[in-house]
Amino acid sequence: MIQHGDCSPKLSVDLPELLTRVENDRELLRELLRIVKEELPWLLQSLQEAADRGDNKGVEVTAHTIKGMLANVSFARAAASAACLERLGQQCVTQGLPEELARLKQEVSVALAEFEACCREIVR
Amino acid sequence: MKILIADDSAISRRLVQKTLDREGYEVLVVENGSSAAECLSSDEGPRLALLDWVMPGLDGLSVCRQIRSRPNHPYVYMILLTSKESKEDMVMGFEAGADDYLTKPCDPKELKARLRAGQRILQLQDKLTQEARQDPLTRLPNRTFFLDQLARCVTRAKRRPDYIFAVLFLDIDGFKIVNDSFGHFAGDQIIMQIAERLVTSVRRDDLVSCSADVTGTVRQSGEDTLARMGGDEFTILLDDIRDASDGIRVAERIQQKLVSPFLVGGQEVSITASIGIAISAAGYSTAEDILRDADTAMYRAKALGRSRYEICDPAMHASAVGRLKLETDLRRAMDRDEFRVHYQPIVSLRGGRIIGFEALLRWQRPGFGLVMPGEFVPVAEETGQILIIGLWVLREACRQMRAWNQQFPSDPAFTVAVNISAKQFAQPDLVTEVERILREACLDPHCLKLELTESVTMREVERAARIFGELKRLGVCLSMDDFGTGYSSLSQLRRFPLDILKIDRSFVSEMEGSTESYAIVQTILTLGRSLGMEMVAEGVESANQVNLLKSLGCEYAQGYYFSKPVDQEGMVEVLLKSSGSAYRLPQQSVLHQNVIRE
Repeated sequence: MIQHGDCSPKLSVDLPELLTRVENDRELLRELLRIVKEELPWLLQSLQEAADRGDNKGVEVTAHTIKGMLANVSFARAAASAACLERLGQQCVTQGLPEELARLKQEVSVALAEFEACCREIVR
Repeated sequence: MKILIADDSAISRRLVQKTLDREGYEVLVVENGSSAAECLSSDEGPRLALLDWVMPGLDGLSVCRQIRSRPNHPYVYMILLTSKESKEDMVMGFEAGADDYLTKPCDPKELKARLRAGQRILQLQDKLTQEARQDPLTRLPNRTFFLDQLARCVTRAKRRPDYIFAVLFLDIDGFKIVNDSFGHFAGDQIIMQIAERLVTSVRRDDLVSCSADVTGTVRQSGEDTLARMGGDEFTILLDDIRDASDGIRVAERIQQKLVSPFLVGGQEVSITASIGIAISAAGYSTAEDILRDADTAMYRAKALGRSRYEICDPAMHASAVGRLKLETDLRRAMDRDEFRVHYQPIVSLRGGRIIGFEALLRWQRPGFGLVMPGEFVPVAEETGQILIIGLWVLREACRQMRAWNQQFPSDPAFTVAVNISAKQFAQPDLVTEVERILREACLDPHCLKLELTESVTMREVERAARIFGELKRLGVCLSMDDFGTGYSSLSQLRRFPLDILKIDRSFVSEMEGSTESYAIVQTILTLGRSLGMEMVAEGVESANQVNLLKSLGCEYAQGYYFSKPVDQEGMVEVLLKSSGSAYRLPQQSVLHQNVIRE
């Protein structure tokens, strides 16, 4: 059983880290935001569907993809939550899965808002 | 430099692509493993790759395995870029064939540094591959590279019946003399000059240079490959030709290019080459087969007078195949107990008594009957098997002589003459082996006569004299075989403690009709006597020859007049009938009448 405490909470968006990763390329930053906004909703949808039908492998693989995407844009807490879901899927643990999924969606929502604000700030 | 990014995540692809664009890489991007494998397998595909692990369809690990499983393909440096972070995953990645492992999210500086490290490894590997496939002296492709290219042509010929290629095998005539006369440095200079002229003799526009192709890039059809196989041997692969005439044309062009003398250390040196040509039309299953046939044709060109070319025809091909089978059969012959020793009596010309025998090797080859040594000993010499066979003959002959001397006691006891080959004579443990065999057979060393030819003994006079001394100390008798046919230096002959001189059959057979041969036999007999040696005439076939030899004072003879070589049972019958002696010698009245008439 994975405890929530396993997922180390961090910042919603680690902006300094992200800026280093994009080598201060603001244009790229905006492009990444566009991709995240485009792709994240249907990935979260896929994850939800896999969880609903008890497809542990599906949960593991989709959570892994989401984790990679979120880590790339430094959504630290959301990425940690996706990692938790990946482990739950890997270990075929269903207990706590809906709660962790809800938590991921919440973290993504917060981070996305923060990211958008950051992008606006940076552009200004 | 080209680099492949394979990732199903758009964020990852975009981040990495941007980083690599900034670094000046030529970036190719795919979204799944199958596309990645296809891209990396193409002839001009990238040699650096960043592969995501988890991808739809073929994953990154499978791509690594697939790429690593291809033989003779340029090396691809693969980095797994993944969100899988555990040590176990990393180990799996490396074991699948990845060269490096990076976890997402990846720091751009680290990524760039890792890629630079990968490039350094690729460069080093290319350098090593090039060195392994290039002749350091001429910078031409070497044997390894040539055989690779040839193998591709053989494969192509199997697929396309209309596709023809040719191999030219070129050997410089008498190059050893050049090396011995001018030294090896000058020899190398000449080899380099020859290489330059050869380059201009093949289709220049298409000539495959080793440096351009060592990474394993697949050749385009119509390219020729010139390689140095080593020493003074070069090979040329003529790709996609019309027929044998194309090969002949190149061979003639090469001969022409070599006509003008080479300049070494201010001196002009004339060089010629013998060339063997093999055409793929004969149908070959391996690169080695066609190369062997071109080599055989080259040797035939040498044998027919050098400075010429010869084409390997079906008969030569069949002969080469036959030779291969002979080699294989010969390798098994000892284990299968197929060798035999036949004995030819050596007879005293004073009374016809048998004084001993010459042991002669035969091979009872299944499907071929009794094979004479001339047909297989040269092959055994080349493969080194002659050492094992030679010792076996020696052991067998000594054992038999001990048995006959017990069964048919005579005074003095029978002797046995055994031939020693050049390879055997070169063995450092020859004397020890002879001593051991004599001891094991319980044979009196005086009953053993070792026969050597002039070419064997005159090659290294100092060493030969030392070995002869050691053999003499064992009590063994030494005999010079085929005397008169080689290049004996009479002064050197004096230095050897030889007991017997055997007059070659060619002089004996002609002594009746040729005053020159008669004179030669007479001279050899005078020489041998004056050096205190026993004289044995070989190849005696007629009564007249017996009488002539007797009149010249020759003491012993062997040949068909007395008996052809027979197996052990046959010789026992002879010994039983004659009570150990007595061939009837002819009457003196027929004495050398032909010679006298002249």
